[in-house]
Amino acid sequence: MNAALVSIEGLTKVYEGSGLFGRRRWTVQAVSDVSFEVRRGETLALVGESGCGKSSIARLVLRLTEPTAGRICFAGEPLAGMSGPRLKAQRRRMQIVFQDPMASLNPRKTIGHILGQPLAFHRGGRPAHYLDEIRQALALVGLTPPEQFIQRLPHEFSGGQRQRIAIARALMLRPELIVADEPVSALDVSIRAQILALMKRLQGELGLTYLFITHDLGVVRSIAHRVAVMYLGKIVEIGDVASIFAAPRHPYTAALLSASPIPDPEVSWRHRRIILKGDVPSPANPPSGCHFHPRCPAVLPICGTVAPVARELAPGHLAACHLNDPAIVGERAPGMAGTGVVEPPRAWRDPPPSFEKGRSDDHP
Amino acid sequence: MTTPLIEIEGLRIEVRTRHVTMTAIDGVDLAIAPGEVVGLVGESGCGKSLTALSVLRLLPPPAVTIVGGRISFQGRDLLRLSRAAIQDVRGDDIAMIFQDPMTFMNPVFTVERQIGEALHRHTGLNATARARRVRDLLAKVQIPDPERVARSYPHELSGGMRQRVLIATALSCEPKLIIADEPTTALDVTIQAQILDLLRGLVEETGISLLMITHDMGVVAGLCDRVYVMYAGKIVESADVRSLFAAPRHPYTAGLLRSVLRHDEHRGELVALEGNVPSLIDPPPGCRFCDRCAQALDRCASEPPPWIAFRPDAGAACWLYPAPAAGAAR
Repeated sequence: MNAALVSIEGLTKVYEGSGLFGRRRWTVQAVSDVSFEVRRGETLALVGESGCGKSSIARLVLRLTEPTAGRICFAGEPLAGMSGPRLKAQRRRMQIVFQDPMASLNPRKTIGHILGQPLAFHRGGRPAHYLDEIRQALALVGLTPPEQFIQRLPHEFSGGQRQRIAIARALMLRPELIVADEPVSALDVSIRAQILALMKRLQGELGLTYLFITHDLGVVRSIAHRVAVMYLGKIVEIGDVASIFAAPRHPYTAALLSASPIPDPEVSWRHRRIILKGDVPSPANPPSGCHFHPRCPAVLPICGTVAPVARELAPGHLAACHLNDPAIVGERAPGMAGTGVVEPPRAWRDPPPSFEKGRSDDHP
Repeated sequence: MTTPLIEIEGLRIEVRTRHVTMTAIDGVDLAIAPGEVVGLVGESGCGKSLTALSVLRLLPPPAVTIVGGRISFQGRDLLRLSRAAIQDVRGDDIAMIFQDPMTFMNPVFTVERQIGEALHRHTGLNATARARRVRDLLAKVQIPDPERVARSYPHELSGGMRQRVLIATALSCEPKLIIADEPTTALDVTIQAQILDLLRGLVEETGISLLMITHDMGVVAGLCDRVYVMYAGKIVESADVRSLFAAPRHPYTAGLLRSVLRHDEHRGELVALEGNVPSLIDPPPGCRFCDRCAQALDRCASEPPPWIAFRPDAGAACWLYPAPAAGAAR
C-alpha cells in the first residue's frame, strides 16, 4: 500500500452567516468530522449528491478555505498554519481542474498566456518566456500541433478541447496532487470518455494522485481505485471501488447504485430498484442521529437518536451504519441481508409487452 | 406499428444569426404511437430540443424558423394551424415538461394558481372544482402533502418537488402526448429515479404517449420502448430499445454506446469516440459522422447516406447497409 499524500482527520467546516440587518443567524455544517487519506498514485473518488459537502472538501484540501476543525496534512506536513513562501511552495504541488472550462479559463487571454501564467507566478518572468513548456504541455494533453493553439482564445475551442487546456494548465507546475471537481460533468457523453482516458494516461505517465469529485457512479467505476460516498457532510462508506459496487454495506450507497440508470435495457428491466422516499434534507437542518434515517429503507429505532460510527468491515472498507453492528442487530447476521435493502419491496417495473416480443432478426 | 398519434415528416429548421444561417434540423422523420414511450437521444447541439419545441411551435421567431416539413397530429398539420388553434393544442392535446422547472413557473404565483390557470384556460371547471382537481393532480404525482404544496410558491419547493408540480401541470388537461425535454438532468440521482418511476407509472396508468428527450443512455434503457438517435441535425438511427442496445446499426450509435460509462461493469480500457461534432454552419456534404467514423467508405464523404429501413419502424442512415428492395424505403 502506498503512503498517504493527503491525510485528513476530523475535518469539519461550518459556514455561518446572517440575514439582512444581522437578524436570523444561520449555520450550515457542510463537512462534519470527516477522516480519510489519499494515497500516492491513486484516484480517490468523492461521490454524493448536491450539497453533500464534496466540493467543500476539495476547497479545504487546497486550503482555499480554512477548516473549522480538524487537520489536513499534505505529504506529512499540516497545511494549517503554513503561510507565505512555504504555503506557496506547497500549493505548487497541488492543482485543481474545475467543472466548467469556459468559466475557469480567462476568455480574453490566449491559450499560451493561460498556460504560461502559473510558471510566471511561481518562477517569475512573463508567461511568454515559457514557450517550450507550453508546447510540451499542449502535446501532453493531445492538443497537437501546439502552434495551432498558443495564439488563440478559449472560445475558439470545443468543450472537450477547453477541458484539455484546463488540464494542461494544472500540469504546468508538475504537481503531485490534482483535485478534479466534476471535470467531465459539463461534457457530452462521447467527450467524457476521451477526457477520462487522458486523465488515466497522465496518471500513469506522471505518477499523479487524483482526488476526483463527481456525482456520476459510471465515472467513478471508470477512473477511481477507491471511493468515498458522502451524505450530508459525512462519509457513509469508503473502500475500494470494485468491492463497494459489488456489495455496498451502507443503505445509501446501495440506493445510489440502484438509482443510477444502467445503459442496457436487458439489465435495466430486470434490475430491482430502490426508490428512496423524499428529498435530500437541507444541510442547514440535518436530521438527528444518522442523517440518512428519514429516507432509509432499513431504518432501526436507534437510527433516529444515535449517529453510527464508521466500522471497518474488511481491510480498508469502512461503513457508518448500525446494520453492520452485531451488538445492535442481534443474532441476525450483521450487514444488509434481510433488511429490505438488497431485496427492495417492489420491482422497478415489469418489462413492457413490446420488450417481450423479442427483437428483430432482420439484420441485413 | 399502429397508426401513429403524431408523425413528423421531413422537418427542417433554420437558425439565423446576424452573420450566418444554418440548417439546425435537416429532414427529421419521427413517429409516436398511442401509449408509446419514445426516446430522442443525442449530444448537445444535435437538434433534439429544437425538434421538440417545433411540435408546439415554441421556437423563437425570427431567429429560428421552420422552413419545411409536416407534423401531423390527429389528421391536422400542426405547422399550418392558426395561432389560436395551436394554442388549443398546447396543454390540451400535447403538454411539455422542461429541464428546469423554475424557468417555467411564475415565481410570484402559488402552485395552485399555476395549475389552476391551465385548467381555467382549457377546461370549463369552476373555482371549487379546480381547487379539488389541483389537489388530485398533486396527489397523482405522489406529492405527500398536496394541501401544503398547493399553497406554496415555487421557491419553497425542492427541485424534485418542482418537477412533480410541472408534471402535474402537464397532466392537468389530460393530454395525449407529453414531451419531456431532459426532465431529470438537473436532479440528483436518487430524485431522478423517483421522477422516472413516476413517469413510467403515469404512462402505464393513463396510456399517454411520451416523447423523452435526453442525452442519457441509461434513462433511455430504463424508460423507452423505442429510440431515435440524432446527430448534427439528422436522425441517424431508430429502433426498438432492445435492438438498439443489443445491435446498434449506425457507427455513431455503436460508438456512443461504447463510450458510455457504466457503473455495473468494469472495463479495463475506456473506449472514446474520437473527434468532435461538425459545424452546422458549413456541414460536410456527405454523412455528417464521416470524419469520426472508423468504417467510413469513399462515398461517405461526398454523398449523404439514404435512410435504410430494416423494418417499418427501424432503420439507419448509413452507406454500410445495402439499399433495400424498391418500395421499402420510408
